[in-house]
Amino acid sequence: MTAANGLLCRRYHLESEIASLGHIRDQTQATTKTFDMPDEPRQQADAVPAESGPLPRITPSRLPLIAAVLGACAFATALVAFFICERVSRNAQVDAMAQQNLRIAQLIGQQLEDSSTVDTDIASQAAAIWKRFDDSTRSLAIVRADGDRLFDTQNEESDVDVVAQKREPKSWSGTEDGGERIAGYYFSPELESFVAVYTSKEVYRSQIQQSMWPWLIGFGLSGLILWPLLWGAMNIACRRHLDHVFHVETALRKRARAQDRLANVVGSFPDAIVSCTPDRKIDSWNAGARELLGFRRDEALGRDVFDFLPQDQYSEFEGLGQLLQRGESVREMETTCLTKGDRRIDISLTVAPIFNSSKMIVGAVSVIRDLADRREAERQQRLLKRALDSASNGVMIIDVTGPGHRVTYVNPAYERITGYSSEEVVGELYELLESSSHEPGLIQVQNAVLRSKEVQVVIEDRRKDGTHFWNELYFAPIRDTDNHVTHYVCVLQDVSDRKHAEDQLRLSEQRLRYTMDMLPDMIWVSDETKACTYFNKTWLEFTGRTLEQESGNGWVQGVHPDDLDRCFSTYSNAFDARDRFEMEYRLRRHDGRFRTILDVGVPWYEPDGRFIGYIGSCVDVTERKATETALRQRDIELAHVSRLSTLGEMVASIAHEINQPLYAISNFAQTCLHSLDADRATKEQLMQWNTSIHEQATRAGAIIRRMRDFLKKGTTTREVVDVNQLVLETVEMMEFEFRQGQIQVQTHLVEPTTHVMANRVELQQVTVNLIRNAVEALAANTTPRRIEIRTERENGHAIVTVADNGPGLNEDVCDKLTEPFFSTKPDGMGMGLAISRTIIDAHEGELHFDQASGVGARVSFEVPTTNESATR
Amino acid sequence: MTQTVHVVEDNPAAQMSLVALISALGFESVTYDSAESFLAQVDPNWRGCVITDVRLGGMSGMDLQREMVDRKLSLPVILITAYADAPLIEKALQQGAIRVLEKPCQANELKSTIDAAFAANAQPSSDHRAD
Repeated sequence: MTAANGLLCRRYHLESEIASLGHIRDQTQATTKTFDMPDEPRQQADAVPAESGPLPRITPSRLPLIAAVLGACAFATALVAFFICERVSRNAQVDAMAQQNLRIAQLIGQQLEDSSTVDTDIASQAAAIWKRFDDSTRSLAIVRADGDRLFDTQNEESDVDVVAQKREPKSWSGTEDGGERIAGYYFSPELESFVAVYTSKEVYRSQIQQSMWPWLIGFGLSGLILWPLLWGAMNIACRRHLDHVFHVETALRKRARAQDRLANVVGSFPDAIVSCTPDRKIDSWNAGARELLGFRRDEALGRDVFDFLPQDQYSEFEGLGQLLQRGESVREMETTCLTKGDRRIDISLTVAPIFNSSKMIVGAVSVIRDLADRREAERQQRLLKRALDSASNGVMIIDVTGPGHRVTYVNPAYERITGYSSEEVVGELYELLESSSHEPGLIQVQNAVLRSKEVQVVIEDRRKDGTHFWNELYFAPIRDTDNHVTHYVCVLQDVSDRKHAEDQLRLSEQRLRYTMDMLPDMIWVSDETKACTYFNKTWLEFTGRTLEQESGNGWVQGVHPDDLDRCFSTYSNAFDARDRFEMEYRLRRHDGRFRTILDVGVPWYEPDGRFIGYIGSCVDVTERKATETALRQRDIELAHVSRLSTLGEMVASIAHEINQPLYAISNFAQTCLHSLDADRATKEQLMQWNTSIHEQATRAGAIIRRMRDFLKKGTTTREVVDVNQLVLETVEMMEFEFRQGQIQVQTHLVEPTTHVMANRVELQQVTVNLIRNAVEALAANTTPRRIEIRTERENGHAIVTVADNGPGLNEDVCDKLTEPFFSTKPDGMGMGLAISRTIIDAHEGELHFDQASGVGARVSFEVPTTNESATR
Repeated sequence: MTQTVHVVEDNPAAQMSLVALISALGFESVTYDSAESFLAQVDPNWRGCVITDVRLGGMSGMDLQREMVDRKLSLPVILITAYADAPLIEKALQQGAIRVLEKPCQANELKSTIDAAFAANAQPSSDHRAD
C-alpha cells in the first residue's frame, strides 16, 4: 500500500510538470518574447532552464533500481509492523508466564499445606515437590511472611525474601526486580508463607525467541513469494508511466535546448537586440545592446523605451508605436538614441511587433545597429570622391572584368583635360588598351597592362575639339582580394606646359653650352661629388683632349706633377667648405708645353639653394706672369738705381762722415808719434789714443758697410725686419744730414718693437726717402727745425711716420707726389716717392700723406706685421 | 797773458783727437762744439788763435770767420777742411784767415800754423791794418 501511494504521488507530480510543458510550448510557438536572454551565451547547452523546475531523472535503465527501492521500503514497513506485533505479544506472554508461575506456586503451596505438619519439614517437602516438577527454567522460593527464607532453589543472595516482606499477604503475579524476574507469589495463610515461583529474564528471552521463529520463517516465506509479485507489479506500473514521462521529458529538454540556443544566438549577435512589452517596458536586452548603449541588462530591464531616446525623437517614436500596433514593422530606420551618459549616437533601427500563437501583439523586438562605422565609411567615401573631384589630375577607372574594357568613372579634371563629359565616357568601351597602335607610348602601356604592371608615359593626344596636347598617362592595376586585376586606374595630366618648359630649358641649355664654348676663357663644371662633368670647347682645344678624357678626374693628368698636390688640395678644401677659390697651376697644352693657368672656381646652387657643384673659369696667365715678373724685376732695378742716386746726392755728407774718423785717426796717430818723440806721453794716454784710433777705424768701417748694404743689388728675398732697429739705423746713417741742417730729430719707438716680413733694403730705402724729403723740406728758413719719427702698431700693421714742421704739402701736390718724375724740388729727379710707393705696394702696405694735422708734412707708411710679432 | 788755441769742432772724435795733438805740440786749448757756442763765449781780449772745421752743423767755419771780422775780433782763424779747393782757400784768405789746412793735417804744419797765428796775434793792430 505504501509503495502504491508513492507511485500515485509521483504520477501526480509528473502530470503537473507535463501540464506546465504544454504551457511553455504554446508560448514558444507564439513569440520569442518570453525567452530569457542572458547577458552572456550559456556555457552548458543541457543546463536545466529555470521554468522546468526540479525534474527527476527517470530513464528506463533505472527502473529496476526504483523497483528495488520501493520493495525495500515495503519490506521495511512489514518489519516495523512485525516488531510492533511482537512487542504487543511479548507483554501478553510475560503476563501469561507470570500467571503460570502463580499457578505452579499455588499448586506447590497447596501440596505443602496438605502435607505439612511440622514447620521444619517445609523446606525438605518443598525440595521433594520441586524435584518432581523438574523444571530447570524456573526457580522456587518459600519465604515466611516475616521475611524468613525457608527455601530457595537459587542462591542465597536472591532477594525474594526482601520482596516478600514488602508484599501484603496475598497472592499476586507480575514482573519484579526491574523486569528481570517474572514471578508468581502464592500466599498460604496456613503456612504463613509465600510460595514464589519465578523465571529469570534470560530464560524468558530464550523462550520468547523460540516462540518467534515460526513467525520469522512465515514472514520470510511470505516475502519470498511476495517479492517477485511486488516487483513485477511495480515494474509494469512504472514502465507504463515512465515511458510517457520519458517522452515528455525528452521533448522538454529539446525545447529547453532550442530555447537555450536561441538565447545564445541572440546573446552572441553583435547588433543590439532589445524587446519590450506593449506598454514599452524593456523585457530583454542582449550583450550587443549592452555594448552599444552601455547599460547592463539589469539596469535596462523594466525601463521605459523612451528613457533611451532624446526628447526630440519622442514624437517620431510615438508614430512608430502606432505603426507597430497595426502589426507593421520598420526596417533600418536611421535615427539617434542615447547611451549611458546621455551621449547621442547614430543608429539604424529595425523594429517588428511580436505576435503570440493567437496572433496577438505581445510586444516588439528591435535590432539596433551602430551607424558610426558606416557614417565614417560614408564620410571617407565622400572625402575620396571630393578628393578625386577636386584633383587637378584627370582620373579614369576602367573595368577589365567584362569582355571589353569599360570606363566606370571619370573625374571632373578628366572632363576638363579631354573635353569629354562623364556621360560620354562612362559605360563606354575603352579601346586604347587593346587597339593596335604604332605610338611607342601606347605600345608601352599595352605591354605593361599585359603584364599587369604600372606604367607612366607621355603621349601626344587630342581633345574632343581636336586640339593637340601632351598627355602624361599613368596606368596602375587595381586588384581584388584574390590578387586578380579587376580595374585599371588611369591618371592623366596635361603636361603641355611642362613639355614646352622642358623644350625651352633644353634650348636654353644648348644656348648656354654654345656660349660657353665660344668664350675665350676655359670653363669647367663639376657636380656635387667634385667630379668634373663638363669642359668647354676652349678648354678641350687647349688641352687637345676629349670631354670623355677630361671628365671626372681626368683633367688632373694635364696638371704639372709639382703643382698637382697643391692644386688638388686647394680645390678639395674649397669644395668642402663651399668657398670660392683661386689658384694657379701649370697645365699641359696640346703642344706638350706647360702653361700657367689662373683658375677661379665658385660653388653653384640651384634656385632652391641646393648645392649642385662648382663652376670654374681658367685663363692662361703665362704671358701675364712673365710680364709681371719682368716688371717686378724692373722695379727692383729702378729701386736700386734710385738708391744709387740717393747716395749720390748724399755723397758729400757721406764723404764727410767717413773723413771725420779718418781725420781723428790721423790726429791721434800724430799725437802718439809726437808724444813718443818728446818722450812725454804716459802709458795711459797712449793706450787711450790707440783705443780711440781703433774706435774711429771701426766707425768708418761701419759707415762704409752701411753704404754697401744700401747699395746692394736688389733681390726679392724677404726677411723678418725689426722696424725700430731699421728706423734707428736709418737715423744714424743720416745723422750728418740732420746735423748739417741743424735739425732736431725725435724718435718715438713703440715698445715692444714690431716685426714685418719685408725686403730690408727696400724698406730702408723708403724710410731714407721719407726722412730726406723731410730734411729737404726744412732746408728753407724754418726754425727751429724739427723732425719726428714715430713707429706704431695698429690693426696688425706696423706704421712708420715721418713728420716735419716745414711748409707742408698742399692738396694738389699730394695727388701727384707718387707720380714718377714729379718733384717739388728744383734739382729732384721725382723718383723717390714713386719708387717708395711701388715698394710699399709690393709689401701689401700703404703710403699716406697727411697735411691736415697742422704745421708741416706728415708722411707715413704701413706694412702688415708678421704673425710672429702679432702674437707677442 | 798766455795764448790759447780755441778749437771749434762738432764731431766729438775729431775734437778729441785735435785737442790731443795740439796738446802734444805744446799748446793750451779750449774746445767748442759749434761756432755759435764759441761766439757766445768769445772775449775781445783773448789771445791765441781759433781752429775751426769748415763744415759744421749750423754755422760753418767760413761763417764764423766772417762773423769775427764783422765783430772786429782780432783772434787769427785757422780753417780745417777735407775739401780744400782753391776757391774756398782764396775766399778764406781774403777774409783774413791765417791758413786753410787740409784734413788730415800734418802735425808740423799745424804747429807752424799755430805759431804763425800766435805771432800774428801779438800785433793785433797790424792784422787790422793788413785787412
